[in-house]
Amino acid sequence: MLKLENVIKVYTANENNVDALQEISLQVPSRIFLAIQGQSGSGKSTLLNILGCLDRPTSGTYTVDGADTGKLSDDGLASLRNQRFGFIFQSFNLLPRFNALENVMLPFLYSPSPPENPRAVAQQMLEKVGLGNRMHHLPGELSGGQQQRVAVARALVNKPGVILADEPTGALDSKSSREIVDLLAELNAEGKTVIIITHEADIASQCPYVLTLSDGRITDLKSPKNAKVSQKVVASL
Amino acid sequence: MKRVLFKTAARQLGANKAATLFMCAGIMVGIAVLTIVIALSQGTKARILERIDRMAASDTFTVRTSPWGQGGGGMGSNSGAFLLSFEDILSLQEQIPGVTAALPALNARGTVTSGKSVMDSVSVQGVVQEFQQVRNSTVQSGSFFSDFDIKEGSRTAIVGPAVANHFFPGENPVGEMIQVEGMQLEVIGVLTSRGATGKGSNADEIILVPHTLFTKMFQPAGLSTVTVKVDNIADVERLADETKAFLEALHPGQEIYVRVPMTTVGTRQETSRTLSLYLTVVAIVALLVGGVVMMNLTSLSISARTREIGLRKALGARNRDISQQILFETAMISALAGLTGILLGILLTILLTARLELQALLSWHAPVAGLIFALLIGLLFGVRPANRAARLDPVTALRSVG
Repeated sequence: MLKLENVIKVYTANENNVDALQEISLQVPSRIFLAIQGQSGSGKSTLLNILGCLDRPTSGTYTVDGADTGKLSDDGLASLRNQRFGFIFQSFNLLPRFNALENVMLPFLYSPSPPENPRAVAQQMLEKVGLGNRMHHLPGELSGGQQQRVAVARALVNKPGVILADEPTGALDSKSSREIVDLLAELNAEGKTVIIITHEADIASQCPYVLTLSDGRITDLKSPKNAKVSQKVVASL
Repeated sequence: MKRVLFKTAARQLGANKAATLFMCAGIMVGIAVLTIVIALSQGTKARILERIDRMAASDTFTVRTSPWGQGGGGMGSNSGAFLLSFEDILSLQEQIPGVTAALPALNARGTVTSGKSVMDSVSVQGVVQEFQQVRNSTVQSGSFFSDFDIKEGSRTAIVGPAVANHFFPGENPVGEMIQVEGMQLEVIGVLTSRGATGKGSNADEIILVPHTLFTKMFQPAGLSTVTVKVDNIADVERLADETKAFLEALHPGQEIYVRVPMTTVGTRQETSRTLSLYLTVVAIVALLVGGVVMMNLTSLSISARTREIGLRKALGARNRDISQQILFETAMISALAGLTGILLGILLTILLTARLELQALLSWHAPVAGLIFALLIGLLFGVRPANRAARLDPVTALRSVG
């Protein structure tokens, strides 16, 4: 369960204060598939960064499974990112000089307890995303869709509970986009919480939960009619 | 972990070959210069000190019966003046502990002939067995006088290179006969050239004879000058004072003058200090230049990799993981640059000494100092960019271009 209470984020740029998030309160239960949409500058990336502990709120509290992140040190946040969250970016962010397998193994470098056979675990993840025959290719030798699948494998390798994806299909053609969204849906079905930023309507329409942001506020929340109470995203609009 | 760091650093350095090369070049040149300077200055220092040591024995002092600047010198010729006897210097040698040898100055000018060849006004010196030791003179061919020669006054002579050249050009004069002041002497040795002495006279235009023979030839009235050598250079001044008191006690009412050539000791120390200072300054400049180049290029490489650092942080890298990675890379570059710099330096030193009139001394100092300096540069000047990289905000870093 991820829980934001009265979260405000203010950026200071050129001596002007920009209110990126204004009093956001939000509860995201585990194992749901949530899309966040909104126009650029609406605060959706800021929200995702705070959810992923890449950024801290200016005020308000954010708890991850009951633990207050405001009380954690920078190192504590780093370890939380390593263990609880898997990140997927629009531009893949693979290291160009490392092959697919090495890229997938990267999170183990910062893990307090890496698996006994990290290579085998990474190979397993690449096979899961359908790249078992491309493990020793450099990112430059892979198509966009394949690169994003390497990134998905990397996000999964430390077995995090939550996958955070910031416009994961923004740089892909429609066929690859569909494959990635299907992959994310599959992960959700296996029990991962998936939170995805998108401004493509047909992708949002596939997600059971859709949160709409505008000027740093939540303006709309779509939930499935048959959702159980324990599975309901709660947001104060 | 260490293996991954190594692999990451190697890939990173391999990826941006131009930057790596420039970084290496800065430190490499610095270390190469350092290696050359250490080798050359050690060579030069050794050569200068050797020359100073050859010019004057610094563990000696001079005793005179008249003050400096008042004629005299050598044997007293002007009658009536107070002179020391040979017995005086023997007892001085025996009774003052710390005195290695006392060397009477028995100097005269004489005409030397051999066959039809004549040489006027050659310096003739009477010597004791300790002469060689005190004057740091060596014989380049033949041998020095034996104890027997010195005691009995054999009719033998050792000639300076200038004398040897004059009478026997291109030949070995050992075994030949020369006439000094009308006395027939056998040449038993040739002195090593001393070259410049700093005085007007030519130190190579000299003939040595045993002091016993000298006394027979020139019949000096006594000794006005004695050179005393001491065991330990540090005792020169104390022993000079003791010698003065000792001789004045032997000859009540007479004043004895002593002079310690402190200037020589001073020159030696000063020369050595100046050269070391010069070396240190060059080393510091090399260190700074290499370091600044390194720091700037590392900063540049970090700017180009901001996004990678942001990604690593998103994947769970702590600040110290990032700074460790950057420091490891700079240390690796500097070690690499240090090694190539040392090799380059050694190569250039060999080339320079072969081509120019330079003397170099390649020892373990240069490579060890070079490597330590290189690593110091890498770590010292890597810390700032490494900390800067570690403090990068992950969100900003991820948003950066490139």
